[in-house]
Amino acid sequence: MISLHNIRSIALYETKTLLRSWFFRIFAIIAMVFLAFFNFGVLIESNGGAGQWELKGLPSLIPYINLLFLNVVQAIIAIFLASDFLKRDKKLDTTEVIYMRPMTNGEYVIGKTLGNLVVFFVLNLIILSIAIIFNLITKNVTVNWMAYVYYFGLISVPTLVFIMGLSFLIMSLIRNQAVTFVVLLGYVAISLFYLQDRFYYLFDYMAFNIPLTFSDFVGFGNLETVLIHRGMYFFLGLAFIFYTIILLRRLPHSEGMRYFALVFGSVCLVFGIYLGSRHVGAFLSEQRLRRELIGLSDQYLDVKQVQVKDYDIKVDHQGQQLVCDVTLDVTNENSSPLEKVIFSLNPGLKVTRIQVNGQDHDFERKLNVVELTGLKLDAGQQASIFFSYEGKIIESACYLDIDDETRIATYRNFLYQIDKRYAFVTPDYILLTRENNWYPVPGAGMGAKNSQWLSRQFSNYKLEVNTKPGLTAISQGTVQQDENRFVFTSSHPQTQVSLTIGDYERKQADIDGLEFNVYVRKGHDYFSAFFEEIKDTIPSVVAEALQDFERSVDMYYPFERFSLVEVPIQYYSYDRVLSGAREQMQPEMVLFAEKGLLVGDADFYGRMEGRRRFGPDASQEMTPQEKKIQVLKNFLSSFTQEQGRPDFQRSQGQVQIEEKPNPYYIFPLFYNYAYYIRSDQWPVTDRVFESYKKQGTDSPRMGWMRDMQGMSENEQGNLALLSQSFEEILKDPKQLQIVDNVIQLKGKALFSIIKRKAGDAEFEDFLFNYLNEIKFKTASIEDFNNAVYDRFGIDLIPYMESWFSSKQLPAFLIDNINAVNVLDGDQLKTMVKFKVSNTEGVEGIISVDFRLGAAGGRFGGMGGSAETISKLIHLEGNQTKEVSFLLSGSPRGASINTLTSRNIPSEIRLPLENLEEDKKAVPYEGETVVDIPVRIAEENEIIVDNEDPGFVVTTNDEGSLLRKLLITEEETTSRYAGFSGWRPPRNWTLTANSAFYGAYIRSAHYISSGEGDQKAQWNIPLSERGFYDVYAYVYKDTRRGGRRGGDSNAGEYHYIIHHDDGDEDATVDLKTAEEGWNHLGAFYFSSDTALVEMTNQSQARMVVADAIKLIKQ
Amino acid sequence: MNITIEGLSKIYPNGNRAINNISLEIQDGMFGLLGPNGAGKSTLMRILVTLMKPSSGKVTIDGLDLVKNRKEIRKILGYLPQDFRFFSKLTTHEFLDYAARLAGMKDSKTRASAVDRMLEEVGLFEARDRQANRLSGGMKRRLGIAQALINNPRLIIVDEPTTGLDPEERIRFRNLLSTISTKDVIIILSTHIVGDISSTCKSMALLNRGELAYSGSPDELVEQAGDKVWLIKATEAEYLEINEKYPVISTVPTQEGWEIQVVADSINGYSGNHIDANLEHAYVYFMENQLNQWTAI
Repeated sequence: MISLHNIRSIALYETKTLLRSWFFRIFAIIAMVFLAFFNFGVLIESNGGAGQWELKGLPSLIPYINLLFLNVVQAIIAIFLASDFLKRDKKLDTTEVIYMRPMTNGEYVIGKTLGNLVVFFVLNLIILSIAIIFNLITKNVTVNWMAYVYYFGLISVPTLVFIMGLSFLIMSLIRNQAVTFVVLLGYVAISLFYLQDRFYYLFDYMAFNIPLTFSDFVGFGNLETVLIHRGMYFFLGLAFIFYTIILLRRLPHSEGMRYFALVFGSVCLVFGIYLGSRHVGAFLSEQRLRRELIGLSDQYLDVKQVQVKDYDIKVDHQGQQLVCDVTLDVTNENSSPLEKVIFSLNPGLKVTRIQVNGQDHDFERKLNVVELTGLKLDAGQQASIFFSYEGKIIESACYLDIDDETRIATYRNFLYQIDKRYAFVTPDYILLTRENNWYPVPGAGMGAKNSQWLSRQFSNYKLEVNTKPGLTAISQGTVQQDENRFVFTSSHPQTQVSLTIGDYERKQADIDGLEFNVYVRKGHDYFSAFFEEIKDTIPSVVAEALQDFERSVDMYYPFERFSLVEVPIQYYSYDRVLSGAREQMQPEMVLFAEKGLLVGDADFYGRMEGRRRFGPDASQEMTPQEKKIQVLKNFLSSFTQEQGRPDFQRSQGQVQIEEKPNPYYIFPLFYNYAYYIRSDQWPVTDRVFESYKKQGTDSPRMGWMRDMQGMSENEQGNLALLSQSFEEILKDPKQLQIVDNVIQLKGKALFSIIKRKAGDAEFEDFLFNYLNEIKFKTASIEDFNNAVYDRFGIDLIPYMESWFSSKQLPAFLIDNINAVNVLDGDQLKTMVKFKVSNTEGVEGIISVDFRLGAAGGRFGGMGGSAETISKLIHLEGNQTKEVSFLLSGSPRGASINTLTSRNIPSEIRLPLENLEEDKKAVPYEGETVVDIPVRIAEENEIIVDNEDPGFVVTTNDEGSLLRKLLITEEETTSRYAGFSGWRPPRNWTLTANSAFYGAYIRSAHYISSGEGDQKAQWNIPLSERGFYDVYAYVYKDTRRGGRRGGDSNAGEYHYIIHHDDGDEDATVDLKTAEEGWNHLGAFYFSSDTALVEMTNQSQARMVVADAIKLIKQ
Repeated sequence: MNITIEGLSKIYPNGNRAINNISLEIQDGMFGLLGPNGAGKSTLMRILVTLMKPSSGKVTIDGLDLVKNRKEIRKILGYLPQDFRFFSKLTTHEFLDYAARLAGMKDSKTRASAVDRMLEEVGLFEARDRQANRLSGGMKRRLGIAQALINNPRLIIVDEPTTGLDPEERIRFRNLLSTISTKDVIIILSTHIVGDISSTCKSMALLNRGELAYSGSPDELVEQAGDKVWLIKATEAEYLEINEKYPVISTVPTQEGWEIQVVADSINGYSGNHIDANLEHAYVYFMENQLNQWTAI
């Protein structure tokens, strides 16, 4: 019989001893001070005194983050304290007076464990109290009391039990505290810095990576996973503790206790392992199911689909189950009879009955595929098909086109992890979209080859929902509510229907005839009070934002209503190759993450405070109302930008910036749910149209981002196109990041064929009208081609095959770029001239973009931001043109973009401000084909660039073995690294910039300045001996200073010319040097190769090695 | 109360035979355990306090088998190890309370009163709130014996309890043990200080190299050395010779030379006379002559 008295006594005095330990006290004080400052910082002071919205927006996140921080440190400290008790026990004489007492080893170890745990629980209590205090004093934040309990139980308890048990066990086995520390701290370090979320975060004993975000809507979205994962560590910890009882070096007091410890420890171990295997098994079985689903879908690759004209869906919300009756009116619109009629339906939904034209019909169910046995439909034949089914949604059957690695990748915001959910069916909340396949959809779902799932059909929907009293159902169309019964009817065909049911409240406004709704969970309306002062102005601000967007995409908003629906934070979707529509976008509505936590501009109070303290309004005279309007505008802009916040990562000293797609970009509402241009042969066609239409909303990529990355995504796209065809890139998961850019580049190339003949404005008018004709209908690429042919006489189809599969790219040489002001009549205009050659055998286009301040176009009005005029220049293979543009007003800058080409960088930027007036220049706009191509060098010039074979650099082979082992080849970044002027690399590094010398590729090698031990060498081939003038191409960095700060471009470059009379150290002073070619002197060379070297010796911060030119005298 | 030890042996994993085939009968009262370093005293005691398992043999304490009834035996044990240090951070009172709790005193009032009484008895009541590891050496020994006695044990085993104590404290300590030994308990006192045994123990055992060399009363041991203790008056030159020939008990310089106490059957050639033997003399004589093994203590 276990003596609780003994356990309590041992625990009590262990606790007292540890609480009085200075080691623990110092750690506790540091933890308390750090977390107090952290809470003060993120909840009170940051963000202009409004606190960090990502944290305070959801009150449960406050205890989550606090315990996350504490847990990492306490897990380490627990190792010290836990192993210390066994060390203390090794002082035998001291322990002997305890060991000879009448108690069992179990009581002793359990008592010690509890004593240790109590100490940490006290600390947790203190930290949580601090968090609660900050939670209470933070403005506009409620307290989620239960979250404090949940996170304590899920984060701290399993971690402490596990790490203590492990410490006891290892200490018992090794019996050396120092070695135990090394082993366990090594384990901590590996799990924190290497294992992280690998292996389905199986090794994440500190809960640092497992998603634990708690939603106000649905709580933990992954409760089962969390309980299994945390339970695994809890039981493994218990097992280790009970094994320690057996291993304790004290004569057992009770054999019964030993057997109990052995049995109980083994049971815990087995259960812990079982939970671990279940944890991993759940992921693996998901993956297995997905593979089966994909394989099954591909079996139906050639099966044509029926067209659904009408959906009549009846949903009964029964707790965690859906009970549905769905009637579909279908037609075989194919030209041939359908031998098989198949539908897909989420495999978690069990079909109980199917009727065809009112008669029960046999069916065969394979996973998600429902095949109506024996049903054949002749061309044009119609049928009414009734499905009755019930069950749950299996979410692993969603996003079958998304690879496993992407699916299991962490979803992180601020410092917390969020689980990814694609559907919710709980007694109090439902969220279903087409991706969940919660209603029958023609076809077999997504496969590896079969992408029919992503094709769209326009159908009429009627949706009837019965749910719990008090809940609100939200879907597309007009709604009629009768108590807890909702009926939605769409007034036009739709591609899909979604269903959201929850404890919502609705805010509604009529904006220019558009029904504008905001649905938020009751108690989540944190914004009405903020906007109270400007509530009468809101409709006009929203209308203006909408018009601006309509103007930029040259399309009207197609629906009668727009709803912003708050959904659980866990709701997640993926960017896809063949569809630009994320599931957050549904017809007529945007599913917006809980409290706008993922959108910084949803923090209205914070943004207001930020503007007041630091923002552009701080020094301006703006009324509070005007500031709030600006805050609202900024929030609305969250829906009109395609890219979200850039994600910065360092890799091998280089900054990598990944632009994350913005899931709330509303373009899909304008295009994807209103139009569909289908092509079975080139499924990406619709995306090309989509991409073309949305390019008007592209924000100009910031130069510094490209400079930091080394290459823009367009340039990376071009690099990819050098080795892969468009078709191959679309199928290559490694190219997912740049696939949008490639689609856009290829789209521009495709449409330039029409524009070249039709003209820009004509084509835009045509496209605008054409899309209006096919609104809410499916059109094929052949339909579009026919329309183009009818209007412009151009047949696109023959060009499409090579457009899709060719690997050839044009290459452009651009020279003599000249921008001046000229007088055209009595108006001063800007004229930009240059010569361009396409040196490859395939045709190509370049785009010249001028940034202006004015706006214009179909939708009229003035945009708030700068407008861009784009001009396209088409060049046949091996063709050269002289082009000239004449611009009214004062363009602020221009960029020549070589689009799909071999050129790197693909963009040459030209500032056009403060231009001089050329009184002799003749104003002219147009392009002329000329015979003489652009020449990169004159006939008597010999140039060796850093891209040429004659250029070599030394390698600084320093670096630790660990670094070499840890950084694999796979992690090396793209060929051209970013340009880091403040922290230049220690090795010669290749970087691209339009200011460097180059033919197609304008690049240079650069290195941190040093003592001259690193060299770049140009070996210049000479055909004859003699005197040569030697020039170096010098890049002048106008943004950064010398090594000791101060003047920009302070410092010098040393070029060593090895000539017949010896070696000459030609020094170029960067202050006085010309940007471009600089003369180093004239030297006699008699050998067939001249050698010029450059070292890294310089007072400048960095040294840039670009090109050397020799001209024979 | 009695302890029966039959054929007790302990062989360590390295092959070292710490005690060998010891058989012993211990009755109520103080029992002295004497022997040189490495004789096996501590091993025997650690076996008796259930900290170590014997390799062979049997020990019964009041009829209870030491191995089979470890649980019951631990309830009647009190133990003070030789080099006893305290857990840091606990006060004198807390440490004693901890010991009392583990000894099975569940009722908090009873325990509090027992702790206070024991602190009074060992003269540490005034130091009850001082950290135990900051007490003086004597106070620590007292606290050590206090924790050993806190549960009124029937078998008390103390290892070198008076080492490091000043004479006054040694006497007080011995008296305390003597007082307790009258209460149907066995106190096993292991010590190097022969005087501690002679003044307190009615029976004793002498261990040497793991074997039982003597078992009986101290008086019987003294009797064996009855006429064997000599006081020799020696010159400076004789002093060195005597030191080499006989086990010397003590040497005192005098004006004429040296007065040297030795144990020997005879002192041929030297001028000296018999003096009364005590336990210390007897121990030296026994070790020298009976076991032919002289080891300095």
